[in-house]
Amino acid sequence: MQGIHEITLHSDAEQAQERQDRRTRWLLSSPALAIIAVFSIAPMAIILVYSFLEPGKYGNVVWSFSLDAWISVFAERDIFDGTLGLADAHLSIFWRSIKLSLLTTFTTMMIGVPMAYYVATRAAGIRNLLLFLITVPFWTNLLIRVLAIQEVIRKDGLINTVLLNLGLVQEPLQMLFTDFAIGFGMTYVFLPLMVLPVYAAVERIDFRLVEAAYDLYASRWTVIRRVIFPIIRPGVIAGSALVFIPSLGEFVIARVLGGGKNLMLGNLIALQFGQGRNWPLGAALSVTMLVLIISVLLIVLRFTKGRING
Amino acid sequence: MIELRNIRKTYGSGASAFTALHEVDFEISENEFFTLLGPSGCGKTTLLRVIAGFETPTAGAVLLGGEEISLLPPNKRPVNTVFQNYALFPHMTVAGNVAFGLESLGKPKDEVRARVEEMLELVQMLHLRDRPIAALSGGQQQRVALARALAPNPRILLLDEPLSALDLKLRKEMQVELKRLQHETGITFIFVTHDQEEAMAMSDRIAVMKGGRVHQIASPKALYDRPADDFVASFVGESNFFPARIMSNSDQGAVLSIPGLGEVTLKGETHDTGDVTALVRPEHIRTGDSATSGLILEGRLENAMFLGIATLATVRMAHGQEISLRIRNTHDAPPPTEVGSTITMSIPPKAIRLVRAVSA
Repeated sequence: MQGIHEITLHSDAEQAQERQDRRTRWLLSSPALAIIAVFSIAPMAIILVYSFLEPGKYGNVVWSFSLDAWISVFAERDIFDGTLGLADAHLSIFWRSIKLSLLTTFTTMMIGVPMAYYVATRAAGIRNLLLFLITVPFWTNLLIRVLAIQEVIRKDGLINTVLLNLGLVQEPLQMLFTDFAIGFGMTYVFLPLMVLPVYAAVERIDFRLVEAAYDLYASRWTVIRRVIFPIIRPGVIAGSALVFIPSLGEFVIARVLGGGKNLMLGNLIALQFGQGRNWPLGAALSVTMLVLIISVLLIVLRFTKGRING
Repeated sequence: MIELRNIRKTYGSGASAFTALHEVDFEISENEFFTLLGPSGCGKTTLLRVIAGFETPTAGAVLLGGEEISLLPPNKRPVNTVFQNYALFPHMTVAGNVAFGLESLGKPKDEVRARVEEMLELVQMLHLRDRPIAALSGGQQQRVALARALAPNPRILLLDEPLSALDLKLRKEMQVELKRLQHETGITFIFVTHDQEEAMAMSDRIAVMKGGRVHQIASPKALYDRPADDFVASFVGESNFFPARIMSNSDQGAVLSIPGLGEVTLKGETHDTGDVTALVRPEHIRTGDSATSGLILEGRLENAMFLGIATLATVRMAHGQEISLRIRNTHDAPPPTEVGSTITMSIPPKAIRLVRAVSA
């Protein structure tokens, strides 16, 4: 790069112009940079710094360096002999969060992709109505919607009443306060986040390609696998990221539908900043979650990029 | 080989029903380059889609080699299509596109590879086999679309205005290329176009369509020389139409009277007396020294367009009618150029054709 500059910028005027351009570029992008610095980098930096401090007695932090928070993310001190062992409670919560988030991503994909395809291939009028219906739940408070789900899956709720009356089960099913309840609730809440990007991808499909595939002896399944899916794949990946990321940090759904004992990562973090009064641990857990999310996204990108010819 | 039997296609029902094809009935034989020609909305693409299997005819039948295929879906018909905008799969390479049909048919890998190479060789695209589709020019995409449709060795290749997106020079090249491909592969080509020159250049036979009906099916030469009606005449080539009347028939032939132009005997022809439409092609009208026999006319030159090989002139007759002339430019007889000058012309009786009047 440097070599090219030396060759091409031979006149002083050109160099002055180049300097001027660089200044203008920085000046024009400064508002955006300021916003990123204040609202994105600064809070993350604070969290990172807090994770290396000691907890204050009534919350907040004490400004003295400590690795305790980080150690207790992964390990716990035995109460009797003081040796360090793996923090089973934390690890099982990590595992549950990842498992439920992946499951939610999978179920929203299974339901959302066909749904988006269906909506995108309807006539314009019906399509807009269906899109409207998909976005309507967003206008209601999340807590209200989750409480409504609770009504549906409760012991004497809608599903159990129907099943009992049909004679399909003898005893009401215990669905509330299980991992199933959390997965069910998250699937319901995050479904639109899968449907919308996939819808946008399906809408861009040139259906003459589908005709061309049929013309070239493709079966219905081959058309889906070799033409439709590769074209909508970017939408599905975007939808998966949009579902997976908030799923991992979700705590309202886990709190209401999972009860007290089925904690997710989000609940654990909320706990440290609330009753736990251990801000450094909360901060360390938050950073851990961030790393988890980034790793999963990198793995997803690794597996999906550069795949031609499907 | 392929027979279309009384095909009708109606969209919608009741008052809003629209009939795109009216009782289309003809056959196309083995190894023929057959063209469906007509203005947009004439039903030519609908007919192509009926043959491909994308549309089911409301009435009638499509027979391939004597077997009815009207209800077979497109992926069960040994018919492939080159689409108007090529419809190449953007997420595959050139070779991936060409291999698609063969892979769908479940051909073994070696066979697919060999056939893909053979097809890319045929359309001179072998060197670009691993390129993504987006990296190709329009002409190259055209060739890939051809190779892709020919690869499964269909019994019929359908081409839906495949050249319309190309520039003139490339279009001319591809016309020659298509003719060569049809000859080399021996596959029946059914070609759809609205460009009469393109149709004339390539086809063994042409079906001229309008408003969902086939007006005439004939070889390019027969279509030009003996158009069935004034629509076909005006769509294929340039025409002068004269409202005329058959006065009588004698041993000599039919006596035709063209108001404002005179009377002429059509030798050896017999026609019912009554009103007719007479057609004279602009290049069949003689001018200057050679204007000696037949109907000799005089008119005023309205404009003259020099086109190199010929001059296109419009002459207004005393009774107001305009006549188009196409005068060959020769080295010893310069064409008339002075607007307003008087032109002497003659229409040889042999140049006069009687056509059915269908256009209002």
